[in-house]
Amino acid sequence: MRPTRLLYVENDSALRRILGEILDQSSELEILGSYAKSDDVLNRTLARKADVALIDFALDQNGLNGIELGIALRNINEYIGIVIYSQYSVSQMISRVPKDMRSGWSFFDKSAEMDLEDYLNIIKLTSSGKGNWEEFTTSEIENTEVKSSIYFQLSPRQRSIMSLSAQGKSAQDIAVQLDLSYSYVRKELSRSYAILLPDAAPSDDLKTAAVLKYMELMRMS
Amino acid sequence: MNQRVRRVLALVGPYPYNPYLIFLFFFAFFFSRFVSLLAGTPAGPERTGAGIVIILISLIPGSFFAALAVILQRYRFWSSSSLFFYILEITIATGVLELYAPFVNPILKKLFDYEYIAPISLSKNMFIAAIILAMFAFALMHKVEKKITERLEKADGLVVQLMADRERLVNLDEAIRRQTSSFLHDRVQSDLMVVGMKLKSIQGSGSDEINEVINRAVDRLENTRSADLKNIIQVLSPNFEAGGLKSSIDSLIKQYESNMTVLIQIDTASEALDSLNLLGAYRIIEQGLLNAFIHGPAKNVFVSIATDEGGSTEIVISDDGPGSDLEFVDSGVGTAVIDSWVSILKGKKTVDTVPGHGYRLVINIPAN
Repeated sequence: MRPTRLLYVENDSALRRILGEILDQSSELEILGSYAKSDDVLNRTLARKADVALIDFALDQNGLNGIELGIALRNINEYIGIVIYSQYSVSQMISRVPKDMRSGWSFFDKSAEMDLEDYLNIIKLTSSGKGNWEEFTTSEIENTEVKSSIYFQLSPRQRSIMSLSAQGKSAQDIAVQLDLSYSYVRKELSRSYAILLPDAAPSDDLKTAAVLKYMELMRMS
Repeated sequence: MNQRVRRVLALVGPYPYNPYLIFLFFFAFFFSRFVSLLAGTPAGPERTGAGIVIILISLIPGSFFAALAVILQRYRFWSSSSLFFYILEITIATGVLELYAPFVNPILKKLFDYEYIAPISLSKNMFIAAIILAMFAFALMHKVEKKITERLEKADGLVVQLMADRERLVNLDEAIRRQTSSFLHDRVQSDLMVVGMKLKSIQGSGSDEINEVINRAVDRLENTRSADLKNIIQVLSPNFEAGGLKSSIDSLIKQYESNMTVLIQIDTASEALDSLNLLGAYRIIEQGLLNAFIHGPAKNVFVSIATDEGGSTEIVISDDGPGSDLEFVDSGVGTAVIDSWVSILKGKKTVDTVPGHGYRLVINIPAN
């Protein structure tokens, strides 16, 4: 089997040299070149020849970042695997890659404790068209979060009105107690109902349902 | 003409007519004159009716001359800087005022059996006195108006300057943060990494004891580099390019993990905001969370960032902390930072808080 052909892009010269030497020890890798700048890599012949590119996320501030470079390389060579590594957290970086381009991408945090074997594993996994990108796709917002966020959609004023309403006080009593106008309290009550019961039908007993919902939220928070 | 004479004449006029003051003057003049007539009317609906009539007939001359002033200033086709025309205008207007008496007298006669004689109709001298009085009034009005306008302009200038200063300070602060952060990232973090790798590369060649020392040293270096430094870099100057707003705010939230539960909702449109708006949103939320922690601490904080199709963004930071009376909402450093960013982003800030029911901050930022 022929060795995996690698492009290596890192703008820190010391790291480029030391990691380059480590990778060079493996007979399974053929390093086509080590580069400091994205411009030097964006070369048609070079990009077509490579199986995989190992790219630092934070490159020259005036040029492309690692992900933009990876996307550009992929546009030249649709089979090239892209490995992004960084001192920044890589956990959200996959969201920067277009959805239909995500397979064959890998991400890892820079670490001095990785050895040649670790690098080889991730490079070869990615060049085969897989990559570890799926580990970083975030799950959808959970139901409980949405539920308790309703409480926070109420303004503090609405919360104070609702809590008095939950004690059985009428709009008139609430207005007197909080030193507000009656019509304002009525308005805030109906706004609160709309927040607490977004799907309520107009015929429902809004007040009771809203008070129950509010008390349920209070237990949660 | 002599310089001194010229200067005195310039004091006489012409001055611009202020329609509001003209209106106020005539209304006050006629109303105070006629209102005493009400004493002769029996209390009740009749007096109310007569009062309304008096208000109406007092409104007419003021409205008429105010409208005349507006029309004159907009459509005057003769010179507006000529003293002669100025005096002529005032003289004609004073003459027109004389026509008012025959108009109101039938009404006054019927209601109160009273006949109004305009003072200017009494004699030629009264007429001239009225003209001089009017000119004096215009000169005085103008002087007062100019003084107020000047002060307001000065205050406006100071506000603009203050905002600009605040913006400069914020920018300077951000620049220092960015420099420090990129030095830590590009040099310190990288060097630690390289040192760690070099140590690891010689690990195999030493005794067990040496290997153990190297292991511990690399551990220590890696911990500093990938935990402490990483966090400081992120907090100093978040890199939105790397992980977007969400991951930057996530690392902010981590600092409060053991004290408060923070819920966060960021829509995709907000992730695509330009870098200044992202930084502003981040700084506002940073201070908002700090406030929720310091003044609470709140148990739960809810943060949401939503950007609509038009590009305007709404940031909500809402907590269930103790809250406070709106009048006592503090003006601390955190609030100053938030206000600065709101003014840089030309946004609007709304605070809502009730003791015992939490605190909610809403920031609206227009599309740019």
